[in-house]
Amino acid sequence: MSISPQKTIIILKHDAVARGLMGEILKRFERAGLKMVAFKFIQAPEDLAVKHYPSDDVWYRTAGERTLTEYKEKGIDPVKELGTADAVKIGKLIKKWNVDYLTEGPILATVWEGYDAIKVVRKLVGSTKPAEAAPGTIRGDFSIDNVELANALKRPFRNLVHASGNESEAENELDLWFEASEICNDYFRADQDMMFKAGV
Amino acid sequence: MTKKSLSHLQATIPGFERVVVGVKPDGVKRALVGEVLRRLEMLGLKMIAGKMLVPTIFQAKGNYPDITTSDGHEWMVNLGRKTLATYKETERDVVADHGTNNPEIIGRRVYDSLIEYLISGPMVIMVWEGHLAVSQARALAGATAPAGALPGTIRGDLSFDSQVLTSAQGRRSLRNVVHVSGAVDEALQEISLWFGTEAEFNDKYIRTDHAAMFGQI
Repeated sequence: MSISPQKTIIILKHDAVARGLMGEILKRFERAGLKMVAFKFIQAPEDLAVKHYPSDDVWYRTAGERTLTEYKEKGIDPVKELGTADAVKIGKLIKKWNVDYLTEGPILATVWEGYDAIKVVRKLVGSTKPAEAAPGTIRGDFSIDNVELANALKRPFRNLVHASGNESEAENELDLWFEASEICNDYFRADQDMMFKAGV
Repeated sequence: MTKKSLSHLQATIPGFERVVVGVKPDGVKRALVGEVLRRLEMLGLKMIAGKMLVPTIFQAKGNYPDITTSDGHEWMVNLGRKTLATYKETERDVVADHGTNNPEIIGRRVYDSLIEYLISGPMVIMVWEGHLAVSQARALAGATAPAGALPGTIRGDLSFDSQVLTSAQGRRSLRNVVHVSGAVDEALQEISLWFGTEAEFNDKYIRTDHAAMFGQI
């Protein structure tokens, strides 16, 4: 494990904005001791949202197969629900809904810094599916959306926030969403030394 | 501001306003950005722009009256007069601290410390909108000096800095967590200053609770 601070991207998606949950969500990361180093309230252009998700058949197939497995477990007919049982086609549908979600209205894009920030942030955010997200996590506390319901209504599955999944995702997303000039990490949190410095 | 940047609400709601709210460097360092946003959101104001930046000297100066004009100069001298009044109230010797009791010289020092404070670290600058947004946001922020701001306000709950403390320590500015535009016309100037004259706002959305709060809009 690296002992230098990591950067990670957190995007408060439009449901978080429209529901007035931005402050509540930012507070949780601040309270944990993470340092916010970028913040911008933007309407994501479609091409950017398209680049945010992978566009290769491997990704499509994996995403589609995940859905097919779940449908099988729940006895849902994919052809009836989605018009196809082809994993790649389903993966493309999922990507389209994800892109719609990122572009459906203004979002708050932020960058945070801290030791093991990627893992810490994902822990605070909670499981992708709100029904599986623990109480005390952002998704567990503020959402109950359901993938099958979203698919049936042909709308995005909404889970309030996006957080980078690993170091390479974080690096790619940092390049994609932010200019170097937008990163304001040249400051110290008031409580930083008490939290991290030896011999305070 | 261009016409297309005006919200559809602006035409129909009397007293529809926009206000600049900034979380100042002390608020950012103390990790109070979320808390400030939460309070504005809970009141029902709608965010339409926001960014984090370290202000340039130009932006920091633009946030206050222009002291090269006669009105701005008078405002600056008045800062000095307020400092003199604080020394008098607290029965302390201003000449011992400042080497002078000239309000113009002291006012200039206070002014310089305001600018120094704003450029001392990142700020989060935002635009919020709603009915009478300027007075609503000002009420939420509380009195300028946190020590005198009521509990329940941002400054009253999150600090107790005061002019007595700042003048006792010589040359630092009052740290009061947030900046809020003073009036509707100031808000328009500050929007141009921080976001440019051609800024386009992300205002084409409706808060989910607005219909319940204000009826169908």
